[in-house]
Amino acid sequence: MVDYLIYVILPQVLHGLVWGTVIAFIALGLTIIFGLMDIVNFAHGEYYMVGAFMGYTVMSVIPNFWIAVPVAVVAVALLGLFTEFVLFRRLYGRDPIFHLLLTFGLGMMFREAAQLIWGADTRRIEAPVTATIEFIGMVYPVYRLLILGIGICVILLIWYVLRYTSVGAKIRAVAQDRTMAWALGIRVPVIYTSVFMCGVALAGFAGVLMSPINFVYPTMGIDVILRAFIVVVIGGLGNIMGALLASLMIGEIEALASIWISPTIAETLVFIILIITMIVRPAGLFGKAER
Amino acid sequence: MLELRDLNTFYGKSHILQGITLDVQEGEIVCLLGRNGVGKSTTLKSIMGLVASQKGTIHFQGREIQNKRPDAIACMGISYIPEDRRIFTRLSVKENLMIGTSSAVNMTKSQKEEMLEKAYMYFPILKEKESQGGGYLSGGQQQMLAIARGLMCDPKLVLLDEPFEGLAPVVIWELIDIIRKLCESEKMTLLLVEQKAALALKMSDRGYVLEKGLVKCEGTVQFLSESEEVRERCGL
Repeated sequence: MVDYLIYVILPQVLHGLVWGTVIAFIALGLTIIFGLMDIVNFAHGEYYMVGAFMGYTVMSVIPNFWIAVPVAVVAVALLGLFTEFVLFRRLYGRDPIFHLLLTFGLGMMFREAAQLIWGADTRRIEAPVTATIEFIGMVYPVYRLLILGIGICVILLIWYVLRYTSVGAKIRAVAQDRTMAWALGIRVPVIYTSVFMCGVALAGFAGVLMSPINFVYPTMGIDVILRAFIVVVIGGLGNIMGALLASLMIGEIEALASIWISPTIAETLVFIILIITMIVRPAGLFGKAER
Repeated sequence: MLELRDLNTFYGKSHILQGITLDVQEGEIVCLLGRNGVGKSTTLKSIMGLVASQKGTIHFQGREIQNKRPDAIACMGISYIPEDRRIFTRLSVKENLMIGTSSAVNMTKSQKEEMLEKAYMYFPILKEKESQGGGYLSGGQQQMLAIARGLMCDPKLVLLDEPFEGLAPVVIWELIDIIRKLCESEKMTLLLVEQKAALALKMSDRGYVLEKGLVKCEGTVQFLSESEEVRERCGL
């Protein structure tokens, strides 16, 4: 019984935490962007994919993971700056159908472009840390724990910035009443652009961090964006805390369920949870009905 | 200080402002009177750049500000306090006030702290509720917060829209006292929009009466209070 806990359950719990953190990275960007500019970004997963491919490309030139990470994050941020400036800016205040069309199409373009540039093959990056750690008999790769640690730090940082800094207060003010914030002298377009950049850079960061664990391929964004959407809906759209809790929940459920049932069916479980949530609490488990 | 010349504004196809001409001198309190829907609020929004005006000019301190971005206009020293208060209910009272300094780009941190102290001096209740969410304030307190937030940037000109709407008489008199005090000791220049003409005339130096997007008559408070026409139009 104890052996079962240590060798089977515990590693899966940790896997679930790591996976949950990665989903949280995507879902946070998604939900913050939605909360601020009312745009549901269906292309968000593609920034995750671009992050992974940028990491892969840098690694093939300079085989150092710790150089690849910042380069990939900056590259995705710049891509975010470009797309916000050229495309997303035109969407503000328009009918949501335009948001859907543009972001969905943009995601397709990114996937096809990635296939043209890098090909459809799956690739993999060498993990920068191959060591394992032994803990009460269970052996676990250090790199995954590293992701978990980085993830927790980044999430705490985001929470701190939003909650306790003057920039965070401005972002929350713009999210609540854009016109009034503008009239008070906040440069709303600048806030939009920078928050969008940070949101997609976060996705790119997750992409490059996960590339030593998962494969890198043009449609990798779809797997993760589906979960991120589910998480955002379960957590309540625009609700940051809800997205965080739901990310961990989904990560754990998927990881633990795959002990007993095949991982493919475990994926379906996530959708079942989504459907139940939609029936029982349409505003999300942690959402308020007013939003 | 502020000059509007033949200002025309449309909402879609409806012609809201049909050529407004008005002036506000430094240190003056000027009120815009008139019934509902004559374009009083739209005038303020046009000055602030929140609605685009199609024809005419707006000058502030000699510079043309027409159709500039609202944040740029705010940074020139115009503060807008809107009719429905529009405080940030999900931000604390202090955060709301600090957001008010966004347009004061040259203000140092210690100057901002000074402004905060000053706001608390005029509105002591806000200090008491400093860390509470703006949504937990009463209507009168929210109006005080909206005014205090608008003054945090030490503005040269304040556009104040319907400050007394939906407030109890006691609160209204308290507010009038504070606004009067502010105007005297802070040398505030104020353009006030108010439906309740009797109150507005008590506070102001000069006034304009609007009808159907046009200035119907203008003059000193004394002239306006005695004019039969104004009494009729504003329901005095």
